[in-house]
Amino acid sequence: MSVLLEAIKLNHDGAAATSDALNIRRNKTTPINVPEWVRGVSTTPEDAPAAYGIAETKGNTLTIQARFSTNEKKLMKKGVQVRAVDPSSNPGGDPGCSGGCSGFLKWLGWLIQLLVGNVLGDVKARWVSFDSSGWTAFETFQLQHVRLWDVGVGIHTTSWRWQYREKQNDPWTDFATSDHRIYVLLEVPKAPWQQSPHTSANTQLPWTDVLDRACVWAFGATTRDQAAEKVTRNVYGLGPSIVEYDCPNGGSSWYSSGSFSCTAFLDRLAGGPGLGRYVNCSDCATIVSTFANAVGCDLWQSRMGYWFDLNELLAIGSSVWQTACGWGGFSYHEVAWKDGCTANDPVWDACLQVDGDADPTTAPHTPLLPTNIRFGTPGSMDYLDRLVTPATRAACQPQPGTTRQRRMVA
Amino acid sequence: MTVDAFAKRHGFDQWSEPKRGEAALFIWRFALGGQELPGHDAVRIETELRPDARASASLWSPERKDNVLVRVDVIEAPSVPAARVELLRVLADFQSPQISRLDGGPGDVAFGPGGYRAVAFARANLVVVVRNAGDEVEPVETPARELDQLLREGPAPERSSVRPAIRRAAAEVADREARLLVDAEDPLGRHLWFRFSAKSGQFLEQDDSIVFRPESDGKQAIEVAAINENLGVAREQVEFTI
Repeated sequence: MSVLLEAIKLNHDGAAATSDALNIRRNKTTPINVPEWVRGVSTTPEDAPAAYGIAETKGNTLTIQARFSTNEKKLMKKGVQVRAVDPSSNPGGDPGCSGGCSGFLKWLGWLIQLLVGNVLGDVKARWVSFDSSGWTAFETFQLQHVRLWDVGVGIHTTSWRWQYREKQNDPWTDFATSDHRIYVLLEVPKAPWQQSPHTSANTQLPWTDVLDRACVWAFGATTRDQAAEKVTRNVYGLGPSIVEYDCPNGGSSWYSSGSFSCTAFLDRLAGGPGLGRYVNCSDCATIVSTFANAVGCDLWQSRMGYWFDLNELLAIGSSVWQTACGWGGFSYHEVAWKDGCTANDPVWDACLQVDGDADPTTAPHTPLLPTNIRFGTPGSMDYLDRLVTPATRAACQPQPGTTRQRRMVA
Repeated sequence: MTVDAFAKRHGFDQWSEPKRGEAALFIWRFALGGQELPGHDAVRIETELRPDARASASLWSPERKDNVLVRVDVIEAPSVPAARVELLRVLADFQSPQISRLDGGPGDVAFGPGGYRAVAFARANLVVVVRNAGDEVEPVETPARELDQLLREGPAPERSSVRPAIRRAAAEVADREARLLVDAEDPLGRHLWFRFSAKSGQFLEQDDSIVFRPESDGKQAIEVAAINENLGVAREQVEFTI
């Protein structure tokens, strides 16, 4: 091989995420090293992950950095022009359509490309020069034909076929391929997720183990509210097979006492024991806000209370309309909440479904998963009226002053 | 947080401090090793260092009961009063309005939803929560009391033949209190936790060491126990005068 692709940095500027990838790690214990792609080490797209925020990068020229080597004296002296193309839109061999693809197949190919294809486009050609030992520096390349901003939240595989040529009019020669797992987020993740310090010790950098779930749950969302709704519906849908409301133990917190036991929750999602099958409202609020914020939402965990009676509801994992395990009421309740977490702000509640019809205090019930519903005031027929009995609505007040938070991930 | 609302509800002012004259006990650097619940196998043990406490969460599977899982959480506070505040925080995470104090329960003070489906108790500077985590629900009173007994009395001497060695146990007296100087080692290099006990007085963790404040001046005696994850135990008596 005349030229070797040695390494690629997609997140080459840890201080910004406006023209390159943002700072991420795999999970609590495993950081992601930059360069993400290294020759001989990275064999699957998952080996070379990167995440981009749509809002921060939109309209900007995205860049990557790559490094090459050669053992040919001639190339060391003159340098080469390098580019990388999307194999699916620049097929090297017979793409299977040499006889002419039908319109349907072309449309199908376009759709597949849109849904899972190369969102980073192509790597624009540029000349690189080698030092006396045959290595280039990490050279910055611009990306072109980027489709990142058109697809919404999702996970995509970007494959590049790397090519070089010695002279401007020479034909291109393939010399390497690289595959990357690209997470497309609405915005840079919000707290508890952090972007700095960008160190291996910072466990609050966004985890790809969380993005693997959150991006699927919020797939295709193009706004924060859409993403939050999709995440809420998916979390509620984890019942009863994965989780169930904690009736046996009094509705205690299982994954959100102190920090968010995210590692254990991911284990539960993957079929392991986690820290048990039960959840309460604080767990659900923490899961929704943490996973939604990972794709760019801006939710909080906040409580309402205290000691109020409930209308009949459908707790997560239950198919029985009842007043939360038959207790009659809650001492407190916690939801994922927007902005100031006040009566005027909307809530997302994956812990329970309320009665969505004109009279939430009596059967028959119309299940309504509270997503983007204003908390409201007594009589406003918002979230409060649907959850709490008329007589105790005054006892159920938003408590942002003492409870609004975003639990750290652990 | 929401502890103020729960303090009134649960009568916190009645149990926020240990009673004067009670035996003093302090558990330091506690860690579950998998042997603490007789008849149970540890499925998962997670330790978390919080800014103000050391906490662990664990799942245990009783032998011959496939559908039963027991969750045990232990929070280590730097003093007995701090543990009582931690217990209140734990109670503030129960959504059920039917959580009440359990008379005669494990620990110095205990709460639960009734029927021992779950119990949260404070023993010395530790808060312990024992709950049902599996499909099948059973009373958790027995594992809760067994764990409490281990904390209260320490392991039986014959529990393990491989015991830690206490290389130094001494007290440095100054200003009507004693800083305890303890150096111990496990022969297999495993983590050790410590149990300090006295007839009365107060222990607290300060600057990564243990301080003892006696209830009255005079001759003091403290038992120091170093315990490894197999519950092998070494004990030493430290005597001094304040």
